Amino acid sequence: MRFSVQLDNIGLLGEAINSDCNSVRFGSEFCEYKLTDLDRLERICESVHGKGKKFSYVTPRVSNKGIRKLRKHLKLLNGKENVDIVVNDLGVLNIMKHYQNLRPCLGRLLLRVPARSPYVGTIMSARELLARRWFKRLFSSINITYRLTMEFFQRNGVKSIDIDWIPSIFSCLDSLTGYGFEVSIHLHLVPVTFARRCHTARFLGEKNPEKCSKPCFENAFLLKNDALGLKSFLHGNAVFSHKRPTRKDIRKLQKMRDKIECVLSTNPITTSITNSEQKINDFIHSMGD
Amino acid sequence: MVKILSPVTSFDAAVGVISSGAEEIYCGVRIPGVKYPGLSTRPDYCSLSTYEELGRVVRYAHDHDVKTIVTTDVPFMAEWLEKELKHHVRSCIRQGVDAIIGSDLGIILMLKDMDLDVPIFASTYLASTNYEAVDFLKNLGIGRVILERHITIKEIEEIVRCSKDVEIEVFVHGPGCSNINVNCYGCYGGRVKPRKNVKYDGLLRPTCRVTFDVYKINDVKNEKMASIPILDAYSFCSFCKLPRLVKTGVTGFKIVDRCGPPAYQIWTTKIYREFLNLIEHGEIDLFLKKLQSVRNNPRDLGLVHLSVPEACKEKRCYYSPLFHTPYRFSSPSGLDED
Repeated sequence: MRFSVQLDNIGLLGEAINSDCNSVRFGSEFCEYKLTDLDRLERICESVHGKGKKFSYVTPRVSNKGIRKLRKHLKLLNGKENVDIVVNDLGVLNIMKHYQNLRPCLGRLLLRVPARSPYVGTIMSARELLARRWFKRLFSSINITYRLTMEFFQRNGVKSIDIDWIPSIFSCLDSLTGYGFEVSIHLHLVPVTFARRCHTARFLGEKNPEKCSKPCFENAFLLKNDALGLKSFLHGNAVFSHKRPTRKDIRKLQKMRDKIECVLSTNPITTSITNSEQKINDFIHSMGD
Repeated sequence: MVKILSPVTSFDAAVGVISSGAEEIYCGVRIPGVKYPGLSTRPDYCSLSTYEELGRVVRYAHDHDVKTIVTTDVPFMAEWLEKELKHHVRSCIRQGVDAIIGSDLGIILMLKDMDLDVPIFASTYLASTNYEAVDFLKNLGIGRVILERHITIKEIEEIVRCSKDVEIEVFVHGPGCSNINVNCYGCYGGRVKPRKNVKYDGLLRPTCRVTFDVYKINDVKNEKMASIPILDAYSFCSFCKLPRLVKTGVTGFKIVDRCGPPAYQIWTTKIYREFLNLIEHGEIDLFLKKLQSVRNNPRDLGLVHLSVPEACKEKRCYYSPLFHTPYRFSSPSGLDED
């Protein structure tokens, strides 16, 4: 199985590039205010390539301003070899056609995955049998496995698709790989919701998103409501639930190991397994490779 | 002239909003065979109950030169939904609807594949926040794009300026989501029968209305920092911003809340129509005077959310930053707000 380390904080780059991962993804999936500057992006790309690893640039959903900034980034990266762009915005996908050397990968924000709901367990355990069958089917589906959607993205040059570590949707992998897509599976953190008006910034009293001090590089929060059985993690403008990979789930994926990549995000939520090169390596090896 | 699009959930509501000045109305229709709570955040009562009722609404609307737009209501697409959805779309078209709103790329591709002779609009579920996203949808043959709520007026202006041959519609009023609509899974409508060991009423509350205990991760003391509805940041109103919004050149202003009572749908349509008439006739002083009276009007329209004076006090405005909006729905358990 291939492993990729994803980060949006340049301070964590050293651990990522020196680890045993096969590729490094840099950039934020969720926050356009974390878009880096051109020089820094070039340095990061060169550092990753310098270690013989593949580089992917992760882009969030963006405003008009973000589109203008990303055009410059994509132009720069178009001149490099072996760069993938993780796209989370239809507008970014629209401009990708101008940069023929870059390979678009569909990010998680462009997928609709009902099983991301924090209420899946409640629904599945509470409903009557017939409805449970309906919801079981719903919670094992992803919107892009619809035939016309897959054909559309195939025609538009999409190379791979990011999904979450939700074992109930692993049954969709055959459809995706059958259409020739590679699949990247994000470990641990499943996005439950995200906002443009950042919940962390608001909670910590940031006044202007343009001048945000990026407290999310250092901080994340556990959100609990025991009465409803809700337990989530707030990191920046996104809320996640946590899914721990199990041996059984890993075994399910072994037969497809050549077609999938596992993505390990480094951030304050996953810090206990990602804050050193050794810990990243230990985790990668614990996954069976 | 900017069009007002009003939500309707019944024939009577349609009559009410049309007589109040809506140029277009939009609605959903219950889809036979599709279980709503799992796919849409709206309960059944937020949609027209039958295609026959849709037909009555369409005929009444057409008699008054008003267009009827139907939402597909399913922010998701899968092979196993295709048969029901195609039947649904054909049934709506047979009733004479003027356009269909697609809420997933797959649904839009299906509608295109069906070769319909009505325009296809792109729902806010397509999360268009920039002019390139609008261009992407236009190239798919979309006639109108409904922008994401979380966007600024300056951004709307630029999108309209850069987008030729496609109409742009924006939300103006009603309980808007705290988060990006299509990427939010914390909002599943419905109620479940609770398990015996669960001490709650089974209502699947939107997480943006739930009070959370907040702990800082990796804090050695593990102390609770707050007990607040930390994900609550929804917007409600854009009365004050109407003069600027009109100047952006958008095609339509959408009033939200198909689940709201008809009294709310009718009153909101009426007020927006009055305001737009004043703005379009250059009567800004009168607009400001009326605006002040609405801001002071604590009229109860049966909304669980809030009134206009509360929205003003809490700065729950569409199209502006909300970092410092007071947290609402604060309660120790998070269970008593509904």
